[in-house]
Amino acid sequence: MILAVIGGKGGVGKSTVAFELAAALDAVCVDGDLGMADLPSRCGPDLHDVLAGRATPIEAVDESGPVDLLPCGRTLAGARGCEPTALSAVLETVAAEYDRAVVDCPAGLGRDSGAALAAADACLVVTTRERAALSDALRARELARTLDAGLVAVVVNFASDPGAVREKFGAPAVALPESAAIARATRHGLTLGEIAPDSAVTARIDELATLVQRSVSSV
Amino acid sequence: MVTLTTRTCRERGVTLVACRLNNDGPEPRVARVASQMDPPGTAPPRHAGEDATLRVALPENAVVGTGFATPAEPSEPPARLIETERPTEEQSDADVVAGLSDPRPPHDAVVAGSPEAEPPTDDGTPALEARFADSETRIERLAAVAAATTVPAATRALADEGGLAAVEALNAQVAKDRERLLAVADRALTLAGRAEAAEPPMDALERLS
Repeated sequence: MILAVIGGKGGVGKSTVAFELAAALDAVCVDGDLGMADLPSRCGPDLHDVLAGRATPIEAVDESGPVDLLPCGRTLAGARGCEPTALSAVLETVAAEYDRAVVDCPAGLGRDSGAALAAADACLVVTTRERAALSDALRARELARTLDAGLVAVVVNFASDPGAVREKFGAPAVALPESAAIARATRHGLTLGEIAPDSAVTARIDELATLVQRSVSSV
Repeated sequence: MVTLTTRTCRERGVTLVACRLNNDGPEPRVARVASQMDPPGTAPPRHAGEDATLRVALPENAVVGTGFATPAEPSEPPARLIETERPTEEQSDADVVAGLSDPRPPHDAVVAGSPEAEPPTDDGTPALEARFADSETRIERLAAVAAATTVPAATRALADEGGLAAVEALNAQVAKDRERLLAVADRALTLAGRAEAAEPPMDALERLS
């Protein structure tokens, strides 16, 4: 199962949602943001190396942290040397080996997001309630639809209720309130489950994981 | 033959029109369904085109559901089947992805000579390939000497290469190889940058011709 976390706009919380969902689903989290990676990086080969043919997808998966992670490099030269469309095959290889992969897509709707969506069985759209974020999220949803990545749910980040998002997108909407626990988990590169297992926001992430499991039959 | 049946219900000021398309023929078809409501339809799903029609792909011998919502009061009939046609080839995923923007940073943003800055290609000319292959053989031979960590292994590796002087010569040659390879990488990077800069505005040229 490959789940793409998309959104269109930057800064809406895609990486956090992808990382937490990968933890909840026991999946490999793939940092698909070739130009501006922001999931924790560790030593060893990364997605830039994989997409340039210098490493295999499996050897780039780091199993040492709280979440199995295929990190992405942070150099411009590395991003320049990648073949973004090869991301589809990389995700399929990771999913074949580890069963489940959650890919954190970059902001914007470039070939890297497209390649992730083309390989994905399903997607989650992350947005805030801001107008700009919502319109980008709608465009991301449209691309996902074209590439047959079914929309599991819309995550409305930094909000206590999803507002009219459910009606706008015609899909389940889950609100993620602003939370000190998320900030703390992000700062330490840990998961919410480790930092605040009983918090409200952890329960919402679990709710999302259940939605994903229900809509993708092979999970 | 394709037939359309509809059902409407009104909820909280919105009329929901459910359409059921039945294709009992042996061939897949694409059906166009037009809303007969005023206004025709506003709520999702928004696959309705500007002419307020829905295009629905119907596999052979299949029933497919679709629908739309509108603030208009229910009317009869709420939707009409305008026509059916043979499905056209759909754009493949690869075509869709290829049509999206390239996320890679421009060549000018990358430090010249950076060894990882160009995507892998298989289109090296035979001469270049041969030079790479020669360098690779020499590098592997030198690496084999370097990998010998015990006295007997080192003695054997030296003997294989024909003695200390031969290894020294090989070492010097590999150092030269390194310089040459970096020069090739530099040249390739510069050329790739020029190739990018040389791209003419094809759209404008096409309009002129």
